[in-house]
Amino acid sequence: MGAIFKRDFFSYFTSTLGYIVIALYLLLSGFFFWMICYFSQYNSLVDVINNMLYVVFFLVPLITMKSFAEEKRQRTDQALLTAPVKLWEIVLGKYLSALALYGICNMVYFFYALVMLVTIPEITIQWGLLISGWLGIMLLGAALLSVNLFYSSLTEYQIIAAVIGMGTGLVLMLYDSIVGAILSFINTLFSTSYELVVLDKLSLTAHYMNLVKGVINPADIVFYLSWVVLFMFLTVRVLDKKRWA
Amino acid sequence: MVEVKNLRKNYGDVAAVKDISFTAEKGEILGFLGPNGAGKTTTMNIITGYLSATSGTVTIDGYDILDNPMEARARIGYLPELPPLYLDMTVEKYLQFIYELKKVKLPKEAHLKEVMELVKIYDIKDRVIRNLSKGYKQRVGFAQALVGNPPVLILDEPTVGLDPRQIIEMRSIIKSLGKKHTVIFSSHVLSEVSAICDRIVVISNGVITADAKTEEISNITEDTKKLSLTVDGNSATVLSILNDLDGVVKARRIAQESDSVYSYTVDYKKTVDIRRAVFRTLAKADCPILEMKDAGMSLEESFLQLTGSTKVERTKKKGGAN
Repeated sequence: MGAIFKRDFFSYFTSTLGYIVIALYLLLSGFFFWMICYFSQYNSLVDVINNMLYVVFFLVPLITMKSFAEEKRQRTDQALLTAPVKLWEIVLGKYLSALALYGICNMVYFFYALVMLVTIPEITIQWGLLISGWLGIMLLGAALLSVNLFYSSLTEYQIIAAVIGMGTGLVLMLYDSIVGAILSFINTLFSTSYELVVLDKLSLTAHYMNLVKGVINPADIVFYLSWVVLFMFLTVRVLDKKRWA
Repeated sequence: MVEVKNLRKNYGDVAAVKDISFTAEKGEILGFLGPNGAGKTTTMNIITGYLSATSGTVTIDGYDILDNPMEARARIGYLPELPPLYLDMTVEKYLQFIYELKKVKLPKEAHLKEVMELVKIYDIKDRVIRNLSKGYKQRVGFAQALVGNPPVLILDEPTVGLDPRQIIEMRSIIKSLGKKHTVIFSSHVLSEVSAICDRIVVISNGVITADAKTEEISNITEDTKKLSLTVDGNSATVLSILNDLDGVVKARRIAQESDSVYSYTVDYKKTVDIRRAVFRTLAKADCPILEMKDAGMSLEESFLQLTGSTKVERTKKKGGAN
């Protein structure tokens, strides 16, 4: 597992992909930071994170698109799958390397906090809120990474994995609106007045909102970790099934 | 060391491998010979655990590849048809990765150096794999299989795409490895297999059509032997004399060499040696024999016979090119 983590992580930086992802993240978060916080000397970095939330849905597929797709295309998966390594070690190694790159991107908020502390006199940073917001975007990204890693295991083409991942990202991002629209449609059609009970609990963004408000609730953390476990499991199954094809 | 029993692999309705059983002992180089599409690669992928068989078992050193995959795989070095190279890494970094991936316990620096020197890539260890020539890439792939010193080496067409000098080098490396390892090595080139291997397993359309020591392989197929003759004399007379001999299946005239000199081939049953009789009868008829040669069946002919006539044209070309 360690070997796969190391190789994958460094391969982000021997190719341009890692730099592109980090550059995009810095560029957009820097833009929001400048507009929202720095320019108006407003101390709420969580609002920067909130805006970056929408970027994350589309950036994460870029991180994982090549994880398995490229291995299959170059036939390097033959080395992995015939080595004395268990499937879950391969999946976990790749997942953690993607998570590490994503984690590096998200360190930027603490850097912004420092910039404000140093350059703006008499400003106070709400560290508690910043940390819970950071945890929110990390967990949301962790869940998205697992979904996109799964997509990468389904295809030989990075671009297909990325496009499907972004499409899914769009649906997940608009999940609340989509479910709400369907519900009101049903309610009008049958003149009922159903309310959401379970479906809204599955929303990735709803759980994030709790964290951004500064409420660290174990239920939200467990929710995101369940996504990760589910899709890692599915990825392992996909790799295993290839053997029997 | 490697034991393959009743292997079968279906892809949908098509059986790529129908029923394959063989064993390879320690210190043996086993040549896996067959035309393209015969099922060689599928079989090797199953032995290494990359694919699972529909039915049948593979055991490596007593460990079943499905029941004890970790122990079994740790004993195999595999060079697939396309070497599994990460193009963005340098040779040394790549081999270090493989070393860690395989969880090898040998001293790292020394072991990797030894492997790189064996396949002669030590002087290019800092180059990025993407920029290497095909021959070097193949060697790096080979080095990857050797990392960890596995007792079993599975090499899928390791010499394809190499230039003649590299082929010779590759063969001599394989031959030297065969002393300590069990090597299973696939090829569709006959001369190669007969030059390197102790034993040949011929596979055709997913079934084994021959499994024998290299020097015996031509004997299995023939029930007749061939004699080639050059005789001075009337060809009709000579032919009738030859065809009347005991044990002769058929005599044919091949070519006219000069006015009254013709060359012939005689197919005869391998249970009788007709050479003396040929000499005496032709001498009696005053037809001097200018040349007589036992033309035992060549490996090439055995191969064609074993793999079925439909592939004759294709394999013939390939055999000729090498």
